[in-house]
Amino acid sequence: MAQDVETAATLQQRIAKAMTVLVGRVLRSEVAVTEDSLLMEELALSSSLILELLLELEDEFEIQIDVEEMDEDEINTVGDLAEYIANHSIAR
Amino acid sequence: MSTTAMSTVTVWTLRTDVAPDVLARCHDLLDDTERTRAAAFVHETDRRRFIVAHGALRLVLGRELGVPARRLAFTSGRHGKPRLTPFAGLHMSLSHCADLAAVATSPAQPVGVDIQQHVRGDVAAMATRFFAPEEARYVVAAPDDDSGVDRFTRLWTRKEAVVKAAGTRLWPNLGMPVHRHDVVQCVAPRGPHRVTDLVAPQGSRLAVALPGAEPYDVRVGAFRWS
Repeated sequence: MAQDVETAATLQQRIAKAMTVLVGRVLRSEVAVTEDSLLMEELALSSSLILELLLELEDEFEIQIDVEEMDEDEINTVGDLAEYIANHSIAR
Repeated sequence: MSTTAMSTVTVWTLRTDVAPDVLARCHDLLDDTERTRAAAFVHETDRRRFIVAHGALRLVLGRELGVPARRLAFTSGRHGKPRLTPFAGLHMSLSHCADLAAVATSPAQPVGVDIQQHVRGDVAAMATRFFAPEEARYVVAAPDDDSGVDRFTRLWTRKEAVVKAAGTRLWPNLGMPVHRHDVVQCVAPRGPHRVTDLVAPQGSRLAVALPGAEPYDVRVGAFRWS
C-alpha cells in the first residue's frame, strides 16, 4: 500500500515535469509553464488541446487515463492535472 | 388542438481579431471580474480574444434585453457557464476558439453553442482513444486528412454544444455518439438533447444544442458592432 502511494507520487512528479514541456507543444507557442500555471485562466488551454495533451501523456508514460471523473472546476493548474492523472490511470 | 410555439435560438458569429478601437470599446464594457480574468492570460492574443468575446456577449444580451451592455451582471455557474443575474429570462452560451466566437441566446430553455477551428493533432488517434467506436471509424474512414480533421471537429462541436446545453462536464460524455442523429442522449446527466450543425466560417465547425427532443428554429447571423 505504502509502495502504491509512493509510486503515484513519483508518477505525479514525472507527469508534471513532462507537462511543462508538452503544454507548450500542444499550444504551439513558447510559454513558460510551471506546476502552478493555470490551464485555462492563464494558458488558455481549451478542452480539445487538453485532449491532445492527454493523448501525448498516455503515449509518453504508457498509461491509460480515466477521463470520466475529470472536472474543470477542480483541476485548475498543471499540478492539479498531473495529480488527477497519477491517481486515475493504469499502466498499459 | 393546441399548438405550442417552437423555441427559437439565435446564434451570432464574429471574429475576435478586431481593430484597436473595437477592442478598447469591448474592454470598457467588462466588469472588474472579467477584466481580472482578461489580465491573467499569459499571451496577449488570448487576452484580446477573451475581451472581444465577452464584449460581444454583453452587446448581444444588451440589445435583446434593451439594457445597457455595461449594466449586465453575471455569475459563473458550475463548469464555467456564465448566467445572467438577475436571470432576466434569457439563456445564453458563449464559445470562442482562435479568432472566432459565437454567442447563442434562447428565451425558453438553456442553450449550448460551440465554435471550433479545425482541431490540430492526430484526430484519428484521439477519436479512436476517446470517442464511441462507430465515431472513431467515421473519422478514420475519411478520404483524406482534411476531411478527417473536419469530421473530428464536427463531432467535437456537437458534443461540446450538448454538454453546454446540459450544463454538465464534457469528460463523462466524450463517448456520447453524436454523429448519426440530431437527438442525442447525454450520458451524465441522462437525457435527450437536440443538436444542430450550423454554417461556419471555412476551416471551422459550429453547433448549437437545446435540451429535449423537440425541433427548434435557429436564426444565425454575423454579429455587427454597431
